[in-house]
Amino acid sequence: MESWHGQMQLELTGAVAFWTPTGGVPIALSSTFFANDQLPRTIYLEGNVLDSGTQFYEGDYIPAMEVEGLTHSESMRDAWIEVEATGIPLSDRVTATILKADIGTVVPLANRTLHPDAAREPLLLKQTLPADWNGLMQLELTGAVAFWTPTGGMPIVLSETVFTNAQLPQTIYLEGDGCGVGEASFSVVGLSDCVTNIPLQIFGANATLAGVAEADEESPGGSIANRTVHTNVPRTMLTLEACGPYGSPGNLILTWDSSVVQIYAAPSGGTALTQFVTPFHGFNGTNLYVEGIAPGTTTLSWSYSGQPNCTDNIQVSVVKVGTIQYKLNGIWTDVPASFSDIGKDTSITFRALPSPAGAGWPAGFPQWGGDATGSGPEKQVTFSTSGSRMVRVMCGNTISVPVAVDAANTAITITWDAAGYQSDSSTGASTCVERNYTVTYIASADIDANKWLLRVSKIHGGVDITVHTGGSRCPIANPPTTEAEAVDAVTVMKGYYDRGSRGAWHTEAASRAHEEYHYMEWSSIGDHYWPQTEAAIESITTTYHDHATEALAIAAMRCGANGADAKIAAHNAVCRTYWFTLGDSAGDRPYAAGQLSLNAAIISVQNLAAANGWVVPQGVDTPSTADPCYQPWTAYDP
Amino acid sequence: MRTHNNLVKAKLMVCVVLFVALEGATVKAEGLGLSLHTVDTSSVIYTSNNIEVALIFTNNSTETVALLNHFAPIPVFFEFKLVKADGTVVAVPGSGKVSFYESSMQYVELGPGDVHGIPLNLADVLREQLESGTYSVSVIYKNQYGSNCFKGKVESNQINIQVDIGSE
Repeated sequence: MESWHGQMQLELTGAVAFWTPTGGVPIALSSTFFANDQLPRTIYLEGNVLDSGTQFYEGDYIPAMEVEGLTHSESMRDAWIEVEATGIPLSDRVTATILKADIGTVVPLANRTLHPDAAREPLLLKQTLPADWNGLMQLELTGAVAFWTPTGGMPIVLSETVFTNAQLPQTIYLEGDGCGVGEASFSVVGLSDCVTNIPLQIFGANATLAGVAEADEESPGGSIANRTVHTNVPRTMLTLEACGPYGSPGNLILTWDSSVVQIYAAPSGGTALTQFVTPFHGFNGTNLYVEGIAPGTTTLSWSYSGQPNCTDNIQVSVVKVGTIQYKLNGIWTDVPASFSDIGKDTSITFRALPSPAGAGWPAGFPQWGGDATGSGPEKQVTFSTSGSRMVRVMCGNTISVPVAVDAANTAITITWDAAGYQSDSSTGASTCVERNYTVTYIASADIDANKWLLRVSKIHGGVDITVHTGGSRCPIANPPTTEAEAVDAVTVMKGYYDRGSRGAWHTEAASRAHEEYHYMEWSSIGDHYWPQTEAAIESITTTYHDHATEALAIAAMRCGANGADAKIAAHNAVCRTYWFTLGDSAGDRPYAAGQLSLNAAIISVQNLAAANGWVVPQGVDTPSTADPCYQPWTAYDP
Repeated sequence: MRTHNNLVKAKLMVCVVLFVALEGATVKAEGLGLSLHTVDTSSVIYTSNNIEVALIFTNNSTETVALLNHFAPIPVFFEFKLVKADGTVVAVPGSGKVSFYESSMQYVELGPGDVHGIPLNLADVLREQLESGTYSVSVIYKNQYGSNCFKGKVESNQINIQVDIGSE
């Protein structure tokens, strides 16, 4: 570009330019341009440090000069610059103080976010010299936060904080903020170029176990399943990261207890690592994979050798089932060796507690079995099948709890026992007297409802019949021997139903038939009212947690004004009331029953008479015994 | 039921309680009152196999009342209500039927203001051993038999008895 005719400009720092090798004044570069046509051209440079004793001549251009301290003052204003004239006693002197700001060194810092528990590192803010300088200093930090104390407290707000020199030296404490390289600048307030800078190195080491939040890494830590038991459980990914000044020396190291966990470089297959050590320089992060091999707890420790505080610990527990509890009246309680008397279709809420205590459960654990299904720490189990059942919970080990489930509750009918019967030849009235009901109860537990449920498993009823035959002659055992006796026998026996009482001729069988008809009345009445009674009894409950055994629960539910015994009493009362309404006199059904039995004896006598040619009343009466409970039913609300 | 001698003894006791009965609470039914008493007016501690009580029929009407003079078996004519202090009802057989021999029914007539005492041992009808404690006792007399006599039910007052099985 030889034809270019433009202008060039020169700027200099640290030197001044002259047109000639000696003499002359410095070129005013700010207003000087060099025409391209005049180039090339030589100019002459001179350093801008003036020696003491430099002479300036009258007429010389004397530029403005800057003063630079070389070493700090030993005392205030011990530096000076003097101008004096030659030939005449004229001089002028200015004094100055050369300050020296200074701070100590600091070891590499740990990233405060990744390593919140790392110890703060001290930084000494030295006194600015000379010591009797009474000025103010300020500190600026990048990559670190300063505190007044080694622990606790709030960060120093450096933008609002100055340090009086009289108070120095002072140690403050740094936490790394970020990663890489930072700087500490300690400068004189108002004299920003009077500053001392030191570099800061901030490191961080971060390990992350899948599924474990950063805040949970040390407590409660992570939990993984024992893969020697649960072989299908995937390994858990461990992500390792590190940060710091590029090219820093030292190693990154991962340690663990290999008797508890094994660590692999791949999510499946491969060989377990025996150690993991890698240089910091060149490390860009990696993923490893952890699997549990035995119950226990270990700490995965990921650290940087250059900064002991740069350690990230993750507690890992290989969990097993420690205990099973169940909710009893709202309180978690250790399960007994087994549960018994559990009501069908009732439920129990279980929970499994891990070992070691305080550890969490691995994802998908514990797993439940038997009558329980699914996974998770708590499980409500409804027992819909009667018999010997089981609840199991698994995580590395298995704990089982047997549960005996009662049969489904069904309506019970009264078992009517054979009447107690006795007879003798004494005179007197025959009787049919009720027996107390004998009731067998069971109690079924509804643990989630904290209730024992009362159930009737059996109920027996009956009567005692006593027949007296004294005063009556049995025509079968002791037949009439004359026509007159035969007539009397037939007449007396035929009159039984209308008379309503045993006569001189009678049979034990007829009396028994009469009394057994009463039993039929009694049992029919009992059967009629029983369903209401059973329902009332089986609505009775008591608290489960207050009664340790079925027997205690039954005893509690039987007693009291509203207990089962009172319900049975109410049942008795209504049956008795109704029975009292049924007739038991001449022409009533019990005498019809007796008459029908007695007819056999009548016919026997009539046949005897016929054989002997005696004339006796003929025929028999056959009154109806139908519908023993013919009266309207008594109202009943047990 | 007790023996004849015991019955005589009991009747003597009934005489003792007669005055109590006349002043005591009675339940009226068709003019017939029934009151239940211990065999002593003072507190009596019973054993579970000896719980003697006295039943007093009182004719509170202005007319003669006939009672069927048959009171056994006890459950046919008397329905006891025996309750523990906690409200638990003790089962006592309390109903039955009776078939008389021809013309064997007998009656006792109570003129206005007359009384008729029946001694009973509640233990005779109990089917279970009582536990020690306090019990309330009342009784219903009921009769459906006979002619021209009281038929129906009448309920007594309630008394408390103390049972101490340790004194057996």
